[in-house]
Amino acid sequence: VFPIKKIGRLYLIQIWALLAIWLASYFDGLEVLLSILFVACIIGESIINQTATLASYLHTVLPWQLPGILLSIIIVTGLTLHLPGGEYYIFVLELWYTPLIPLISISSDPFLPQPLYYNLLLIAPLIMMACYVPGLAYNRKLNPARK
Amino acid sequence: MEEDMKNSQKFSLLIFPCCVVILTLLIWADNYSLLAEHKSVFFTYSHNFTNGQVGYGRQPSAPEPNNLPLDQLEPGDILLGGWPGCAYGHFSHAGLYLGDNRVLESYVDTGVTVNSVSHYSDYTYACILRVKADQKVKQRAIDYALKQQGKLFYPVSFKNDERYWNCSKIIWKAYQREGINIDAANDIWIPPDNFYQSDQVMIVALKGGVPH
Repeated sequence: VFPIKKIGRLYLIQIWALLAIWLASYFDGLEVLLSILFVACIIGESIINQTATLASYLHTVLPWQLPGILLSIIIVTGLTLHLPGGEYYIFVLELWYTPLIPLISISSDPFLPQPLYYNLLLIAPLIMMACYVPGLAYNRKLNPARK
Repeated sequence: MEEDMKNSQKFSLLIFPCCVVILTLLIWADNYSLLAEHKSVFFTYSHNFTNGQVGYGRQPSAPEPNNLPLDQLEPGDILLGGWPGCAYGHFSHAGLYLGDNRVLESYVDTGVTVNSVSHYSDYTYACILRVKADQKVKQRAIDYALKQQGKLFYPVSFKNDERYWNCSKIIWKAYQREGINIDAANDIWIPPDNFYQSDQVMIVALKGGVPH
């Protein structure tokens, strides 16, 4: 049911991008370029993987984004207060979504009680899932019968 | 077409590992001298990690007031706080005193923000540092730091940029722009302990024990 190879590729790309983009931030500005490249790679993967149905899309993106979805739910629902090491979950979420951090960092609003970047971090799994949508749209266009 | 897709698949999978190798070598070469420095935060964290310490320490469920003399604070002073078991030093947190019982800090859920100074009385270890500088210089450092409000907190941000902050980096940067380097170790990251060890500051008050 789950395309293990495709999911594995997405995990590998995200983990290596995480390290590369964090290291690139040593050279101010380079990490923004790599972050854009990361998003482009994910869109490319979505097209190459020929995901043409909603079911196959969900079977790929949900397992891929499962760590982020779980962390976001735990933080939003306040379960961090009841779990061991609860205060570190937001750190883990931020580090996991390091590939998006350079793009998220562009946003800032000192007038909100919590900055915009924090809220973007909590919906980062959805942002990543959205990056995979172009492939779905593209492949549906190529294979209209598979709708 | 088939060939293009194969090449694209290879590119997606290999580009970031290649970047990691190249960037690691470049950063390594740029900070080679730190490898021999036992005071560096990398060495401290690695050493503590092997002893089971990972985060910023254990906050007691009912912290006792440390009697830090907050009434002695002057704008531009640096506040340090710490819990037992912090992996990256004696102190785990730093703030820049703004005056009127307000302190500029950075947290992951608020970014760069301004809070009441009173919570520094709850830390097990606490310290007030005074930067050896003119009050005008301190005010300029405060003004710069205040302009960063709402910006992103990133725990392991490097020193070069002005987009990602943590509690100590913003204080270091605010003074560094004024020609005062309060990072005693000139480290790749700046733990709060480096401020305590700097010869650019004097200790106004220290509570809960002396750092190693």
